[in-house]
Amino acid sequence: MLRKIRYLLFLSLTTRAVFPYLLLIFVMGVVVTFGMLSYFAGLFSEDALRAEGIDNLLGGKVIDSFWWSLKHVLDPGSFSENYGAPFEVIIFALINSIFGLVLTGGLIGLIVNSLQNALELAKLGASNIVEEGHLIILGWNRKGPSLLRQFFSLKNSQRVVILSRSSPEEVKTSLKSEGLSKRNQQLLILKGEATSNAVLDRIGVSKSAHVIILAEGLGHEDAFSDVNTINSLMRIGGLQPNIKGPNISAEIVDAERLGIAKIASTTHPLVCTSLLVSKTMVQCARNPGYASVYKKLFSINELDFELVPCGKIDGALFADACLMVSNATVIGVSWDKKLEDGSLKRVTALNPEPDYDLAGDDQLVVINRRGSRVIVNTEAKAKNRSGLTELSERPNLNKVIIFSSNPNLPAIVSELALNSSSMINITIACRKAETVVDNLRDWISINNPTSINSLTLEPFEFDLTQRWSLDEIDIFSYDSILILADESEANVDADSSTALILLILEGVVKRGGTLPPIVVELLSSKTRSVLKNSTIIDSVISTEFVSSMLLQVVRNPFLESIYSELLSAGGIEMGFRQLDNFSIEGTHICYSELQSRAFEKNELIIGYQIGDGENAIVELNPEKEAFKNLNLQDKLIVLSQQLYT
Amino acid sequence: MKKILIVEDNEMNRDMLSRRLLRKGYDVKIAVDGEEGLKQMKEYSPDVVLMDMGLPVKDGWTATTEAKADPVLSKIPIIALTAHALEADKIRAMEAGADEFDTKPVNLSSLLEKIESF
Repeated sequence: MLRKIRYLLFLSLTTRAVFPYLLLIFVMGVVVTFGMLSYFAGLFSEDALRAEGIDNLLGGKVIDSFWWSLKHVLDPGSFSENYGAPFEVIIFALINSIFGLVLTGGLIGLIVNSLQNALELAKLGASNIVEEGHLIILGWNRKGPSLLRQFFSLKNSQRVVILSRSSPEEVKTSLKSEGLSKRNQQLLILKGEATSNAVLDRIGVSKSAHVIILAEGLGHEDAFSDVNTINSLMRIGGLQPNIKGPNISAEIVDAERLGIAKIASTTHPLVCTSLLVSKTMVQCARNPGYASVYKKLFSINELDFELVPCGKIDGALFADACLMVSNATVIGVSWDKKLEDGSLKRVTALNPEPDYDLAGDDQLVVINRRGSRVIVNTEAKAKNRSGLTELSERPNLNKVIIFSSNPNLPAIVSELALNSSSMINITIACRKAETVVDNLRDWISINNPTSINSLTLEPFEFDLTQRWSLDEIDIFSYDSILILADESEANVDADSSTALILLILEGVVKRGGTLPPIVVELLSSKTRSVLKNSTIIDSVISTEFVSSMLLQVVRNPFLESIYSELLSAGGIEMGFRQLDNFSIEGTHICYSELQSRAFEKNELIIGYQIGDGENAIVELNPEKEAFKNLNLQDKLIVLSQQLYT
Repeated sequence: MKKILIVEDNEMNRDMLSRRLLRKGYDVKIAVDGEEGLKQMKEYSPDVVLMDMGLPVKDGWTATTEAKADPVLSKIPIIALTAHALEADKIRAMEAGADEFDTKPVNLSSLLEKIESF
């Protein structure tokens, strides 16, 4: 019986929020009734009525007894007003007051507790977000702080709502560790599942202006992070299918899942971390010093990509159009392609053939300075165009060593193979190297079978926690060294591992020899400043690149077509060209002359680099007049034609 | 108006070339691999085929050889499109039976001359 009562009590307390209050009222009723029994102990006797707190205004019966008892339960302080009353009455008053104290304490506790719960729930995302036009970040990882830093640098007053599986405290700690104020009033940090319709509805997804989905989880073992992203994409699409919702961009970690993600989100841009990192790292390995170009290109504050209608220059050749735009840099053409289902798809072709004849519905893609209006001078024409001569020689890597393993490794190996015009030998130096190489071979045979014949993979056991000697390999024989950010050890910071590998490499140099160019993947820009004096040639700060791209494409979705052209394997690539590559005679260097010569190699000049190494100055979309100040030792930055197959 | 069949697996190359040829007034059809190319040649009977060589499913060399072995399809001129740098591919394309070849990236005026010569 007792067990049954206990169970009923447990059931009622856990399933009905109002039950504790009802229980309190019931106990109070029992205590008040008990106090009313003091009537039989002489509550309204002559002696008792002399006391200040006892009255018989309504005849000294039930109501006066009830009032006296209730007063003691609700106000235990009224006990003192019984001074002079009979002893029995005082005992009743004392018992009532003690129970009153307990019940009042319980009531206050219940109210405080429910208030605290309400506040906690509000913090965890249970409260409705009444905002419009806000930016929502779904999910949280190491790219989050960088994303916010870049967003705040835009000085935008938009409210930012972060919803993640991590606790708000964890998010705040990561913000603080990256030097961002955790008390920023623009920020609302909530805990919740981005895969729940109710939660998405509560944070006002359909009324928001922008949604950025970050992959939840910290890497290697968290294989389901992309699944959650795809799930969120489908749910957001289904919330209000007939209404144009917010601009959405999403991070996809694994290139293998990109295809499925594209099915889930046909209209929203997706940024694939492994493709972006692999492309940038491989391009930096092929063109040492290239990280600064990518940094400029992805910078949210410096350059604007714009579309300029071609109505006025219908029929003009692309080469001429490039020179018609006098204050910006033309990099391609874009148009809307009608699909079979009647919908439109934005197509962008970077650096098309110089003799591409523009149509009225084409748009020129230009890099422009922020806030500047593009000026088109329809009279300008490219000079001395004598057709295609010979394509510039492309840098080729034959032997590469990659330190550490992370989810980007298969895409990097694949990208290296795709960019190599001959046989390439890649050594994988990491923990459990043999297993990693076996898995890589499987991955490539499924995803990129044509590369398998132009590629040899060699494992080299290299474990920073155990065996890390480089004596058995000739590190100087490699064309390039790549060091990936290894997030597989929860207790070891990836950037610290990278720094340690660099120290080991520097130790090898002291024994004699010159290291090949080193490209490292870092997760924090702070590490880059710490490693300033190291042997690194290029550092790809993957968190910054990915977050920058997510922020750019969510604000301007057409940029996805540009970035996918720039970053797709075997697609358009950027390159450095020594100025004397363009047969410049004399000392007078003119932009239109340079560009006309570049067209003969199907290349488009987008900027220049002065100097080398850490002190190099990179300018994208410079003033055309600035080319006059270049020397023959300086390099041009060009978009070269796609490596056709 | 000449009917042209473009057999090309790269979406961007397809989009660019078909857009340019449409603007020049040609009737353009697309196939994305060698097998589909042969099928379209039978159904669409193009005046000229622009055949990429590095194709999935059935490569351009095989598709060209098979087309030239077919009594009906053999009459359709095939212009092989090969990468600019790969001279060996051009020779292979001619050996496979291609009537003409051109390089990618495409020089449109040169390609148009070749199309019009058939």
